[in-house]
Amino acid sequence: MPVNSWRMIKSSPGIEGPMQMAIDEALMMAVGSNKSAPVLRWYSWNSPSVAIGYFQSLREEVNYEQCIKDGVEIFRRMTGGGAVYKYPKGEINYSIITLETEELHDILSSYSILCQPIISYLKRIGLNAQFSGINDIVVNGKKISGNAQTRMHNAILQHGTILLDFDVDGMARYLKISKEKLSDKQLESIKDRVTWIRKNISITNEELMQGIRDEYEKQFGIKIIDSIVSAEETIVADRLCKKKYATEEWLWMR
Amino acid sequence: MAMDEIREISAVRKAPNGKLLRIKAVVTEESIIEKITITGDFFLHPERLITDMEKSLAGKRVDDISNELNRVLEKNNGKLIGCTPHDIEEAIKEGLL
Repeated sequence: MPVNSWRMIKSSPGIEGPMQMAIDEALMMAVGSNKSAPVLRWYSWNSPSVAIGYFQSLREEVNYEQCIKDGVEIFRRMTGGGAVYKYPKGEINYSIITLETEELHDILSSYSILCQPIISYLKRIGLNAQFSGINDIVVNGKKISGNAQTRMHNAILQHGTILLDFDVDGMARYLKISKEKLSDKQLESIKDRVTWIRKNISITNEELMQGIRDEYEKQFGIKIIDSIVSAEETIVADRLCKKKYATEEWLWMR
Repeated sequence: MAMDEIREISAVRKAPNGKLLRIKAVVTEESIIEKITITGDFFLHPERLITDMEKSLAGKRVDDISNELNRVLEKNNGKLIGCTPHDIEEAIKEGLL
């Protein structure tokens, strides 16, 4: 990693999905134009929401009417990958925004490089974690983290979910998992393929964020300094949110 | 003379060791694509290239999907991750069966 000082930003959980996406893109613009050091950002959720991937069809993947009825926000990411049901206790999200260095140029290998500190941390707290497939982290073969990347504005964004808890019923309620109505047995089978940190380990969000920060510092040879989204970045994010991520056009793009 | 029969196809395919494709297409009796929408949990870099890929397939034969998509990807230095142009062509062919 060529840049040896990074920023760490803990965003407020009260920020809604479209604005979270807008903050990620605003930070990409800042990092890509060398106005900012690379960023490790954390965010979580105050209320349930559904995130869909850039290429997904909202109608095909989300129980739209149920979400509207229950007040579950739906937003579209700027990254590919799958739909995720998010709820306050369920997960913590991270974003890494950095420059596209030679080491990170190859997309497939860069997923594994950028996930490695998270994997090391999970191992440190006693979980048998490893990278799996294209963009997942698994523990004993069960998915605990999904990750997605985009590259624009001369920067790389990798954001992902680390599961703290898992609500299979909520997932089945708001996402269209298969064409057939899911039976209890199928729900159990989904539960068998997923795992989460607080299944066996008691840990606070703060401990997790600091632990993963330590691993990034150690493995990438960087110093990570506490930071906030700047006033200028907030203005850019506000504009991106209004003109892109919070629009119906973006939400229903596919 | 009868008009070409138009078929609306809804195809789903899980790419081997990859992602799920959900494709909607309008295909003529002569296997010419009129319109296609490729959705799913795959990755494509840059993302906006999906529109060019879909547009490039309009007027093309189903058998030419893979070649045409490879051409667009190569021309634009695009990277499709989690599925291949071949998977997209196969999904449509399965949908036509």
